[in-house]
Amino acid sequence: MSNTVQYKCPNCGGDIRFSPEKQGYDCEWCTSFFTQQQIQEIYADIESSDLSQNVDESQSTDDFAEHNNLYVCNSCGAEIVADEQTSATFCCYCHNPVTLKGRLSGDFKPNRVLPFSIDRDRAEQIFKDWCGKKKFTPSDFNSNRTLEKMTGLYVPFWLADCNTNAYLHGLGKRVRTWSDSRYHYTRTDEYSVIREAKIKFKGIPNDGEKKIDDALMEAIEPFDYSKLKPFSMSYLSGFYADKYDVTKAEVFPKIKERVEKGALDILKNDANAYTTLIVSDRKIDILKTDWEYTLMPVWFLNYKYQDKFYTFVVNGQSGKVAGILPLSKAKLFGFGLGLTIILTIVFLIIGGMLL
Amino acid sequence: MIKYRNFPLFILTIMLFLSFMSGISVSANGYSAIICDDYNALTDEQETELTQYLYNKSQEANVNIAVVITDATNKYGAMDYADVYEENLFGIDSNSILYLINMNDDYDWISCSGTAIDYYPQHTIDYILQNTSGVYLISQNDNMDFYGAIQSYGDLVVSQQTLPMSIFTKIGVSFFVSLIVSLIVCCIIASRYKFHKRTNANIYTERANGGGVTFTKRRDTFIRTYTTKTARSENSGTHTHTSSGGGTHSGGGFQR
Repeated sequence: MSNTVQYKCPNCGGDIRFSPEKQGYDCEWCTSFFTQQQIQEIYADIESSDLSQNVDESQSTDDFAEHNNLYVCNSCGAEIVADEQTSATFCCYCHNPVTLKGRLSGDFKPNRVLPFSIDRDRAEQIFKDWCGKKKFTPSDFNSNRTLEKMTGLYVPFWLADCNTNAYLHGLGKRVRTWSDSRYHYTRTDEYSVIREAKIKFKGIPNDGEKKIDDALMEAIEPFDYSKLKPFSMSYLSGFYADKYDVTKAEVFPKIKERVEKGALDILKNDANAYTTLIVSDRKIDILKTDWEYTLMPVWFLNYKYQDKFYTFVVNGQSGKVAGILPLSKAKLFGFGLGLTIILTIVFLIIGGMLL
Repeated sequence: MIKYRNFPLFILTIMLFLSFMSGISVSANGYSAIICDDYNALTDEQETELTQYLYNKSQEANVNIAVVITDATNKYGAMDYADVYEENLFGIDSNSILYLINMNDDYDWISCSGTAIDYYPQHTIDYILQNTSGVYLISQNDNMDFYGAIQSYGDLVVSQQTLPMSIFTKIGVSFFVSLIVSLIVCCIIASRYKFHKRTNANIYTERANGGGVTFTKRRDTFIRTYTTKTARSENSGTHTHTSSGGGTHSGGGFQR
C-alpha cells in the first residue's frame, strides 16, 4: 500500500488542488470543480483510514534516514524525500501535490485547519504592492523571478485558551495646569488605584515549528477562527504542510508572556482617566489553559539578496504582510542629501536672507 | 515751559545750534556721536571729552550714539521725545542709539532705531539703564555722576552689542540644522525597514471571538493634592513701535 495520498479527479483521473478563491477543488485537466463535502464523500475511505501506517520499510538505517523518509509518488512512481516535519509536498518530478500518510496522525493530527483564501496570484500582488510602498528598496529586488519562489505552507499552530485572574495596584496622578499674568500653576491629585479582573483569552496562537520565526508569525496575526474547518487532508492538496516539532509545554512560556502583557494592558487601559499611572504591584495568574492544534495558511517567500537572506510572509487568509526588506543605502543617501538642501533653502528664506 | 507738542521743529532748531556747540564728531563711515546737555549737567571740558569718547565708541559699535540731558519732558512723553530727538539728530530709521537723561521726573529712556534695534534687544537696554542711571544717577542732584553715567553708557553700547550673523554663519547654521533634521528623518525611515511589529494579545479577549473581560474590583482612593507654581519668565525679545515722526524704534525706560 502506498505511503502517500493524492487526490484524483473522479472524472478524468487528473490531480485536483484546493482553490483558495473558490474554497473548493479544481481539476487542472478537465476543469471539473468539487466542493469539500463532495471530496469527503468520494474519499471517505482515505479520510477515515488508519493514517498511522508504518513506513519503516522505506527507511534506511543511515543518519540521513533519522530525519527523512522516502515516499513514492502515485502519479509517476518517483521517490520523494521528505524531512520529519513535512506532511504535504510536491513531487519534484511531475510537480503533482502529494500528501504524506502517517505524518498527521495520532498526536500530530490537527484538530482543525484554516483553508487558504488567498491564492498565489493574489499573494504575489499583495507582496508587490507592499514592496511598492517602500520607496527605498533596491529597484531590482521584487522582480518576477523572485516571486516564483513564493510557497504556500500550512503552518502548525498551537492555539491556547487561557482563563486568568489579573490584579493591579498603582499610584494614579491627575495633573492640571493653568497660568495667570505672573505664574504657571500645576495641581496634582494622587489616587491609590486598584483594578482586578477575570480575563478569558481565546485562541492565542503560537507556531509549533522551530525553523519558523515566531515574531514573523505574530506579525501577521490575527487569523479569523470562525473560518476554521474540521481537519481533512484534502485541504492540503496543492500546498506544503508541516507538522509541529515544538510541544505545548515548550510553547507555553511564550503564551504566558503574551497573556501577562495583554492582561496588564487591559487593566492599565481601564485606568486611563489618569495623566500617569505608576504600577507598584501586579499579579497575573493563569488558572486554566485549553489547547488546540491547527494548521494555518501562510505564503512564504525566502530570498537571498546580496548575500543576505530575507523572509516575507503573507497571511493566507487576511493578506497581512510581514518581513524585512533590504534598504538601498544609495537611495536613502540621495534622499537625505536632497532633503538637506531643500531644508537649508527653506531655513534661509525663513531667516530672511533671501527676501 | 516748552510745550511738548511743538517740540519737533523746536528741537530741530536747538539741535542745529547745539550741534555746533557740542562738536559733532562724524566719521568717514558716517557714524557720529553727540551730547545735548540742555540741563548744563556737564562742564564744557567734560562735554568735549565725552563727545570724543562716544565718537570712538560709535566707530566700534557702527551706530550713531547720542546723549540728551533735559528736563523738557516727563515720564509719559519720554519715549516719543527720545524717538523724535533721535530722528532729528540722525534721520528717520538711522542706525542709532540715544540715551535720554530725564531730569524732570527722573524717568530715563534709551531709544534705538535702524540696526541698533537688532543690536540691543530689550534685556540689553534694561541692563544698560540699570548700569548707567541705576548706578550713577540715583543720588540727589548734587551727587549725580553724569560723567560716569555717560562714560558707562559708551562702554556698554560696545560691550553689550549683539551682532547679527554674517551670511556665511547663516548658511552654516541653516545647513547644520537641516542636516540634523535629515538625519533624524533617515533614521526613522531606516527603522521602518527593520521588522518588529508585535500583535497585542488584547484582541483575543473580544467577546465576539469567545473571549471576555469581567472586572471584579475597581477602587480609586484619593490620597492627597498639591499645587506648585513657577514664575513666568520675562519676554527677552524686542518690541518695536512707531514714533510720532514715523520712524521705527525700540527702547526701554528706567525710573530712578
